[in-house]
Amino acid sequence: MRGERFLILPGLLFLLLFFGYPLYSILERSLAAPEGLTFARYARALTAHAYLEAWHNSLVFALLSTLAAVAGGLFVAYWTSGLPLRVKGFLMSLYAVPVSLSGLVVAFGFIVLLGRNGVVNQLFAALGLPRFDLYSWPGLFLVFPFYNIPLFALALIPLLETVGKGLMEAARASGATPFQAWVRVLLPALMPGILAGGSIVFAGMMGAFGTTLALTGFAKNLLSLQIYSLVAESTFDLPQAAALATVLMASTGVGLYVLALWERRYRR
Amino acid sequence: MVDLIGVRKRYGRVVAVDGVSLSVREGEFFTLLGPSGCGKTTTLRLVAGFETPDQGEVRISGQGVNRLPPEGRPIGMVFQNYALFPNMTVFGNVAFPLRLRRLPERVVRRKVGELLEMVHLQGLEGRYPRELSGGQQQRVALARALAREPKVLLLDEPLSALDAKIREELRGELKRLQRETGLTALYVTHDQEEALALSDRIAVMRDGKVEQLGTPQEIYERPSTLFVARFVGIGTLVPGEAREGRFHRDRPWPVQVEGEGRGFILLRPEQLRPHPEGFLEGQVGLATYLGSLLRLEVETEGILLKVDLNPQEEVRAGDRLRLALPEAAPFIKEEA
Ligand SMILES: Nc1ncnc2c1ncn2[C@@H]1O[C@H](COP(=O)(O)OP(=O)(O)OP(=O)(O)O)[C@@H](O)[C@H]1O
Ligand SMILES: [Mg+2]
Repeated sequence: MRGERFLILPGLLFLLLFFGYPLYSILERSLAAPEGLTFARYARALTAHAYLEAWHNSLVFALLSTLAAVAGGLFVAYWTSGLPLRVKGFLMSLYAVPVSLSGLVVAFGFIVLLGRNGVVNQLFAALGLPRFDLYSWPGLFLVFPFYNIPLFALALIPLLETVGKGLMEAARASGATPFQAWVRVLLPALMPGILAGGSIVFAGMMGAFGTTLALTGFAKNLLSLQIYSLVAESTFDLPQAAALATVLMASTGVGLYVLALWERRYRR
Repeated sequence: MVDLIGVRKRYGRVVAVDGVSLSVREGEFFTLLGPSGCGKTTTLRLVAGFETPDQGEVRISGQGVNRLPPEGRPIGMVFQNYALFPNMTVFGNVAFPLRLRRLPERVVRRKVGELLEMVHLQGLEGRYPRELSGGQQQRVALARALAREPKVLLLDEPLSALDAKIREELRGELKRLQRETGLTALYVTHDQEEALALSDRIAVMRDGKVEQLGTPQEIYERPSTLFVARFVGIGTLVPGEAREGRFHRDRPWPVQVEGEGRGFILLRPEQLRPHPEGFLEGQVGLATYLGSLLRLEVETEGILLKVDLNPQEEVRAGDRLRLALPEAAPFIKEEA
């Protein structure tokens, strides 16, 4: 038995090397000054208007996207899990496609479909309808669920199939309408899974920037984009980027912690 | 109480239920018995309202329910895997159907108390399902199904996930509960022993059809087809011919039969007795001690007969033995 403890060693080493070390180097860089330590970058990160706005935008954006993904994902997962086996298998492999696509490919797909001269807007124009602006906040909100809903649904479908169907039926046989069965039995029973899936989506959304960058450039003020611009653009300032990254990670961490606390209430 | 009239249900190319007609009487314990895939569960789900028939009608208390969802039918259901609500305590699970009916909390508490007493689970109100044994979980599921005060209790292999000892215990209690409450029960199992022990009547199903319907005695003592004879109980099917009320092989046997023509008689192991002037003589091929009895396989005239003896008998493999036959035996005509 004691010997088994060493089995976690490779994993631990891996974490230290690929997670601990980068984390440490970011922290160190954000604090380092020629003459010791400085908190100036954090002061800037937490006071400069542009950064505060980015922070706020990122949080709201990630939260709303997560909510959309959870709601949409639940619906899609429930709908899919009730389909005949063959259709279900096909759909599930279809859901895996957006998850595995690069953000750039998705962005260009959306530009072709929904961009200024995209298929949909040409159709809208012909019908005399107002044009849909993909490069606005609502536009961005439309794009991310494209990944997140299938991702979330894929995570939830197995759970729904194993416990969900039986619980729904037990609730219905107890006299519950489908709505009552959903709200009083299925949702609470799935809550741990929902919160775990939500955590993944939330963390991903806090850091997402590839697709946003491809669609709107730097026009939308998000923390991830601020960091990217400090790392890759003429405004190059690695230590400041490191400070912002720390703020971003801390915010994500707090968000995940709250979700984990919430999840524990359901697991008891 | 429950009437199925020419009910059919198919999934794609599979016909799961193929024209089933049967009537479950009020207060009756009715069992659907059959091998895996014969359509028992589907039939039960048609009664519950989880499936709608492609053809035919389901009636409960004389009322056509084809269009009613499960929550609109006067049913309670117990599932093989218990299907308890994991986020609710024992109390919450049993209270669930009562709270849906918006009964005052005081009434809910009293009724849940009564139900838990009925299934011998007093004191476990505050536990969560995962803190209970399988047998306890199934008792909770039973109490929950009864809480709805259904006209028909539907049970889909409720005991098959339990180990043998608990299964038998719960089986007895289930029967007692059903007797005491006078509830109509529609029960699904592939376990013929369970079906015989519990039921007032049994429908033996095969490939989506009812093969034979009758009391446990009728099913066991007078199976109407080879399938039923093989599926229910243990015995030996001896091929031969029925002529003038007697069974014949190469010579007439002292066994009365009903019917004419080629077919089989069914000899149950408990009907065959060793007797010094027995009609058949054979050699014991296998003697298995089963505690309450000694089961022999006796080879005679090219047939392998199963014979049950008192466990005290001193018979060993290789012994020669004369066997007396029963006066009469069920005769099953060869299937066309
Ligand atoms: N949802 C479904 N989709 C497709 N085929 C199904 C479905 N449900 C049942 N079947 C098929 O219908 C037939 C009858 O199934 P059913 O579950 O009623 O059998 P059963 O008698 O309950 O068997 P078991 O003892 O294994 O539970 C089987 O061939 C099964 O494969
Ligand atoms: Mg079944």
